[in-house]
Amino acid sequence: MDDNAADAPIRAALARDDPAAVELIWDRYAADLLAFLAARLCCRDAAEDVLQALFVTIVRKRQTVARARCLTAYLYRMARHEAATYLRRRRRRDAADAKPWLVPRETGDQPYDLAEQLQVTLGHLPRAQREVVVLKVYREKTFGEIAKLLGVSLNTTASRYRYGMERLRKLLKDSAS
Amino acid sequence: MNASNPEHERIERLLRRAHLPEPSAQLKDRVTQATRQAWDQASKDVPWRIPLRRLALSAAATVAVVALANHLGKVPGPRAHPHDPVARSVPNAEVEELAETVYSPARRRLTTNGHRSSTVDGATLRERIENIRAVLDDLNNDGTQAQPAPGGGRSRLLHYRVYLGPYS
Repeated sequence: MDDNAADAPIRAALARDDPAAVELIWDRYAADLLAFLAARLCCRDAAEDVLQALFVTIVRKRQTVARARCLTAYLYRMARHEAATYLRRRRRRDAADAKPWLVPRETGDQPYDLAEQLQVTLGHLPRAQREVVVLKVYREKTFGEIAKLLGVSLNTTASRYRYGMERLRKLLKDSAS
Repeated sequence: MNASNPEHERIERLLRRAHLPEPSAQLKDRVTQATRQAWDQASKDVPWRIPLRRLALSAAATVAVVALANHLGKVPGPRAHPHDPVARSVPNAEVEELAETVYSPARRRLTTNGHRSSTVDGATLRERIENIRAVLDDLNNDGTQAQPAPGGGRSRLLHYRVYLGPYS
């Protein structure tokens, strides 16, 4: 489905100042935005806080959001801005209290250490590479979709993914040895 | 542009053994509540009031800027110190200097406007010397009697003579 067509109900709800727009945006974008913010901030709690702040900003600027040329890219740009604001103002939390942003797929089947190890390893990637890897692997986005929502070229996206995977390979190899 | 590298596929499989949790229902409730408050707050700002508020703010800013400019205009500036490197005004244009710059646009303009340089040529100089000589001769011969200059009164020295008369 074309993005514009998929966003049409959201735009219509925003245009008629209907609070149902929030629900529509949540259903369509919340999971992807939360993954994006978790990859950017490497912290689940922070990602949830920023997601909430992002939705409040969307409501406050709903007229502008409704007029956005590409709603997806606009929302991700807003998310980046909110994340940057959060990083400027963040209060240091106790790392032990922070919820893990990666969890094992099946509880009991996989050791919890693996998720933690992957989380730490991904945390060592540069942010731009980590965003692409997370969106590709965990949200199953194509390079084209990632390029569109991050506002970069397709080649840049593919390069970031390739460099990220190479770096992950080295990091995992080092941690195994 | 798919990841066809087997090494990358292996890492992807490893990464997929963990996953990113979906937004929880609690988070959704929290966000919904926050957005509802924000929506109500934003709805109080009636759309037609926004341009009026902007207009009022612009007017206030304009008044403030004009008042500040007036205030600053009345405040005397810092007194110039004699040693300060300040630009000095030149009272008269040095047309002679302009004459040396052959392609000076200012000179060209002056020439086209009919202005003449005060550069003294040889004939004028000779004429003036003759006038001075005549005046001096007159003074030697008859110091009190004023005679017209041989040049028909064209020389400026004749006018000076009138003024210099009482001092001689």
